[in-house]
Amino acid sequence: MNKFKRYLSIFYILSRNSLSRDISFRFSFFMSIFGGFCYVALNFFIIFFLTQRVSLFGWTQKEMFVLLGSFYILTYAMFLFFWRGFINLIRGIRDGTFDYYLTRPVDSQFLISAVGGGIHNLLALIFGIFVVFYGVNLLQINLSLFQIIAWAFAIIVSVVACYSYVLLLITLNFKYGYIEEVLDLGFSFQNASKYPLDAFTKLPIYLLLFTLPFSALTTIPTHILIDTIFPTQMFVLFIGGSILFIILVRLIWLRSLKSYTSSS
Amino acid sequence: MNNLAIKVSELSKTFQIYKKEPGITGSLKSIFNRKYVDIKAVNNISFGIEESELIGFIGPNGAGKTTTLKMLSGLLYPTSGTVEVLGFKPYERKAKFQKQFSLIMGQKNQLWWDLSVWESLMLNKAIYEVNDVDFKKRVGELSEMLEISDILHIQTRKLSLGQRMKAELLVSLLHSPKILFLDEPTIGLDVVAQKRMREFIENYNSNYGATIILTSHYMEDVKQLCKRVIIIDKGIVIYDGLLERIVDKFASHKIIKVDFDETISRNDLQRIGEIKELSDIAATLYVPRDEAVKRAGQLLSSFNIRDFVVEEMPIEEIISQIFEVKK
Amino acid sequence: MGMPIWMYNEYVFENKYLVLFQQNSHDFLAYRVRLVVNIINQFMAPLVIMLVLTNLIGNSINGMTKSQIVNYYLSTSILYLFLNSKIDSYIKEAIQQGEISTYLIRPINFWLVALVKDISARVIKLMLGLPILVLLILIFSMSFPTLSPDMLVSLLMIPIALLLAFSISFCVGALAFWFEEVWGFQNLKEVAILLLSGVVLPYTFFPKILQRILTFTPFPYLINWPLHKGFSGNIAFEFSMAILWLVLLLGISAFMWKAGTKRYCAAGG
Repeated sequence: MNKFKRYLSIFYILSRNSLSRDISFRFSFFMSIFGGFCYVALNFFIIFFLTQRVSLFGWTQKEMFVLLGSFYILTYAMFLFFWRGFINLIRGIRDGTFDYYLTRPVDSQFLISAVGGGIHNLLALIFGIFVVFYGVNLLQINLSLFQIIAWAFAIIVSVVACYSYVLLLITLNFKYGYIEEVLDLGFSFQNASKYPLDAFTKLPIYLLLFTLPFSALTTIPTHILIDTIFPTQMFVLFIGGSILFIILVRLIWLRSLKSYTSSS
Repeated sequence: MNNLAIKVSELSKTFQIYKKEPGITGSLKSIFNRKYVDIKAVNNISFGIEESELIGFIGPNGAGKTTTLKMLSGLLYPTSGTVEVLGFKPYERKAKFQKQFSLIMGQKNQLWWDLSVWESLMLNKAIYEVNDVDFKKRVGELSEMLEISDILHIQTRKLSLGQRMKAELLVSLLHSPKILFLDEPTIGLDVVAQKRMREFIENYNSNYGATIILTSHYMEDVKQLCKRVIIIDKGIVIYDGLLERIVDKFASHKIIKVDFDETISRNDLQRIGEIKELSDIAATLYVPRDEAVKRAGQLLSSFNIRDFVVEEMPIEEIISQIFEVKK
Repeated sequence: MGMPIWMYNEYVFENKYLVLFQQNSHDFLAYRVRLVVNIINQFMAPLVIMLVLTNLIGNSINGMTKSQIVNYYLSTSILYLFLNSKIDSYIKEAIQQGEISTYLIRPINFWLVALVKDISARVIKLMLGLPILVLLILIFSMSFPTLSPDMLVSLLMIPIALLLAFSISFCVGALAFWFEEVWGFQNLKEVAILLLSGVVLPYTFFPKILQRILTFTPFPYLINWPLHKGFSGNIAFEFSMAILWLVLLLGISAFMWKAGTKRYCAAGG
């Protein structure tokens, strides 16, 4: 229990410093809120426009709102908690400051992940939650408490799975040198989660890997909310598969670290 | 005295820093109201350096050494005063001037990280317009002096720190600069590498007659290389002259190291001088400089001595004493 | 290893900027895995867009047929890949990490260094992107996208668009001289280009009045100008607007560089 408390307090300090730092950049701080707002509006506009008169892969506009909300939550949770850590990590591997993290008595995966930042990301995240329930409301669905809890759980698992996927891409840097584009790649994968699974099921196998998993991250939680019958099988598969994946990435991470530290 | 390569007169540099209070409320406050503080990094310094001199700037961190170097190389505009290097005003950054000097700072390097040293050499060859003949000659000579002829085609990121520093030197000296500014050249190097670096600097100065200014806080660098030192603290020149004279001017004590033939008590010894080290049969004493001979005599007459020696204070200590006094 | 050093000389250029161009390309190509990642990156966005659009039920929206829309987005996303400039990140970092100092003390102009780096990056991306474009077209069995009716005119538009994108990017990056963090501005610039340059939505979907106003801004000339088939109806007008903005923005970027280095050299080097 003590270990948990300790990690929690470290997390609190890192977050507070991050916020402090963001605010101290004055003008840029306000700029970024405006910029964040623009991105949110942009995505909203895209979906709204695409589904205005037609259905998208069998999804109506109202259903797409719920999906969009989950997309916002996933995307901005990623930005809020992890993205800055990813950038620091890649830089750190390149110029050696990553070793600094390795020598601390705190788990390295935690340290690079806990640096988050960006008030605008938090605001967008909250907005995403509103959009989800707005869509649900439009569809006139009565949600049971169980559904909401299952959904929240699924979303959290989604975020961690997405985080693991990008982390996996980053481990390429250990072996193959400085590739900051993996972040661009991760970002465009993330963007694919804007669209429902049905968009990608027709793809040839080799393309599936890049799109299907991400889309699943938003589609399946959405199904939890909008399906009349609770999709138990899908839910179990999703949670099970994601957790397995998260553990797998953790193992790969630890293994990459081992080979990294033994060579430099 | 008119052939000064570097002329600095009443040079000053003031920075404006703002102070931020810690915590989130501090950050919020700083959005609206910022308090700026003036910091005088360099305060009215003057000196002249002749061609081919090898000079050391010594001072604690934050003394103004790096700031001065940056002004000499044109990276910083002075706040007031004049600076002239090889007849140019450095801050005008004229190409003709830039082709004649080189600034080497430990932290910022100009080598391509993912490409070989050779590519960085080719780039500087083009930037400084070094012709093919000179290029071959310089690369041959320097890579031999630095002992890195066989690593020129390896990616920079794969080299060790020592090799990287040497490569940095090679690339920076390609254009045969008349003046070399070296900021902490031995920092982060192991003892052997430090020695090699000093040898290189010394050789470079004597073979090519380049004027060299180096900053360091390792006394070994300065002791080995520089006849003349400029001591800077808090932006002011405290001393400008020969290294050996520092002892005469600033040393307050001399050191007597003595081996006894009998066991000695602390009380007896304390009459002679300040005890720095004491064991049963040996001691190190600090005595006021002008009384060194007298106290030595007292020592000899009061105790049974097997061996003793009178030394000057190590320069490091003298200098840190100077800085202590200034506080 | 046994050869004399000067035998490794592969360079033909003596001009420092051309050497830089060559070396920037080498730098980019230094890692094969990085290239693969870049290629995958390049086809992700167009692929997703294409998938979504080819599955739209319904045949025409707002006067554009389905195949026209598909055509438009495919071409736009390819153009975006190599006409969009990312030099703002490089400049911002060079300022914040002090790399600028290494250029300031040498007889070389950093503004040109940035230009060379930007162009070399985009040339390489173009060379990587062309095969991808061909591949995508074959996958989706489409006709090759046509540029302007007059191919020569389109070719002329490309260097102008390249330089325009550079100058805007440069200005955003150079803000790092005055602001400690500029990613808010960078964000804004990205969104503005996505929205206002027709990357996300063709101009035909904008209200008429907005379309007219936009022709007076640099945005239409940034990304898919070569596609437009004369959206304002007047090629001469478009060219003069584009060139006007180009001169203006290049000038502003040069001015920002000068003013910025003055500030940099006054405040710490």
